[in-house]
Amino acid sequence: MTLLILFIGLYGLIVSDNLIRKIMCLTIVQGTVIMSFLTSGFQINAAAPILSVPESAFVDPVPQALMLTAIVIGVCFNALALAFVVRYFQQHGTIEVSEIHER
Amino acid sequence: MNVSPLLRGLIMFFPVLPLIGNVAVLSAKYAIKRDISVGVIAATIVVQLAAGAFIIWSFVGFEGTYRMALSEWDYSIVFAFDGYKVYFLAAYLTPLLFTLFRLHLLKTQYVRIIFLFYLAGCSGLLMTGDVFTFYVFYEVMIMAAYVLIGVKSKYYASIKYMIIGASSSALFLAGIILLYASGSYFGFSFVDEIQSYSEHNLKLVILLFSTAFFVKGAFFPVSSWVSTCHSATNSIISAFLSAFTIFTGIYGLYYLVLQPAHLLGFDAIFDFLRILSVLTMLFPALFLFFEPHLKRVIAGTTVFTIGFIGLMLSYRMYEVAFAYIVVHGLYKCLLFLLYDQFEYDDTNQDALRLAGSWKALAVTALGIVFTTGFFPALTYHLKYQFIGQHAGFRLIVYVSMFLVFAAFFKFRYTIVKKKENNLFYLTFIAVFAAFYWVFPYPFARIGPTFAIDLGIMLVALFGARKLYTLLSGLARMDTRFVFRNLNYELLYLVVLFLVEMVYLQLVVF
Repeated sequence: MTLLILFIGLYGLIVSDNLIRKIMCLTIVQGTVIMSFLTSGFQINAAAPILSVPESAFVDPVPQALMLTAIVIGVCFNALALAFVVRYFQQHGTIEVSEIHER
Repeated sequence: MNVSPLLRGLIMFFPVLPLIGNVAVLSAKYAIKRDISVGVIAATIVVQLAAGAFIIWSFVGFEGTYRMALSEWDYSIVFAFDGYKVYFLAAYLTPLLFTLFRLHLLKTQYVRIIFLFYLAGCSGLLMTGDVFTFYVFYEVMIMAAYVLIGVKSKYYASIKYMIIGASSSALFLAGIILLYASGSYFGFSFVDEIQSYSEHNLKLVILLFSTAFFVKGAFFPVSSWVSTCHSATNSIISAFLSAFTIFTGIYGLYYLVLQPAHLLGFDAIFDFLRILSVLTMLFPALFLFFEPHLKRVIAGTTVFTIGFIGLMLSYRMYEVAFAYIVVHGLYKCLLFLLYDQFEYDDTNQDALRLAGSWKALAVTALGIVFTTGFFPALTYHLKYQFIGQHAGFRLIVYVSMFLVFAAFFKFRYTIVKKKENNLFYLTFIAVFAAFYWVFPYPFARIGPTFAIDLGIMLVALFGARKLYTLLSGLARMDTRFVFRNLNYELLYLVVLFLVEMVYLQLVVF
């Protein structure tokens, strides 16, 4: 399932002409990567080791702690990218890659 | 290594200095309603220059790595420094020094605050010793760079940089995940630290990291974004991006790909890097030849240099490659700052109508000598050792050199009475020939290589403009619709990953 979502994100990233769709697809790719890291530390019926270590099985907290950072970076990226796209649209009236001339 | 408490403190607080500056600026803004950002940036730069110089002085010629973990935990943040990082630190300090004299280009308080964040990211990247902190500092640096690229309202350049940068970061993050899943810690020397040794997994990590750094370092085929993104902003930021930020790709490539690959005996990655580097010299040089905007030519020559450096790395000539990065940083700063002095319209340049002054000529002269790999002379002479081993490589390097020469020579400047003349160029070639003749020792290189280099230069001088005029229609078709299209560049990223995977005979899924 993770691979399927990854391919959908990659396909959209490459073929989308609209910049907002591109950013959404990139978010899907990043989300897939983050999700696969979180699942690597996941166990069914295990508790989260918050403040103290539970007596029963507990999930690996390292991926969760690390991915929190990656999620924050992703949110910053999205906010910044969308802000630039809006500014670009205000300047040029388009956000279609095929209509953008770089000069 | 036993280091003094002062040096230990400097390594740890080097990345924190710009952040302290930001706290001071924001505190003054809200507490006493005053803008102290210019003074704070100047103070931060002076302190970082002094601290950096002391660190360089302490680590020059040092063998081994000094590591400092913030806690006992296995996944703790680690600071590390070694003899090779000295070169990258010098490459960072060079544009920093130039910034001190061009602070007025950072026009608003907001830009100055973002610039301090950018410095914090760069500094942290230099001092880090673990993979995840590397990722975090890289993102801090690049996120600030995205904003700084947009300061002249060229938002598309920023968006393009963001999409390419985030795509490569996703690959890097995937590599970190696989590293963790393999049971390794996050130290730079993760091959030594692996707990449940899985060579195949480590090779996959190297595949993911290498693709990420090939993109971040602008290796072919994902390299045409450099001239668009690096030229979009003011000269200080352009200089920083070209002199340091793009070489963080090389930095990552060395510490997280080549070193582990060497320890694993995974030599195929060096062969792949060699082929990619040669292509990185050729194709970007072709784009440069067709590029009518001088600032984009200056920015784009960085890619040619990266190909050259990649070639040296593939032959494990690390020290020379890193020394070249420092020299490149110096002349790229000079080129951008000279460009900044031009008087004509920045948004409408044409190679065939460009009128300039002695400053424009100086840019051309500097550009030709430095960007085509003639300086430092040591690198130039070493070049013949590694391109001489393969006839195909030699041909590609010569063609690339011709194209970069021609990229600069195609510009014609009207100096006196709007008459064009080649006197300046011929004088320059004579000076170059004299220099080449006496270095590294008199009459050392009189021979076929000298004749070939001089011949290439003369053909470029007299043929560049005619060739450019003849092929400019083809250039428009190629560069705008194929190579400069964001969709194609993202496709090339995936293609690069798949080709590398096949070449290294690794199966990911």
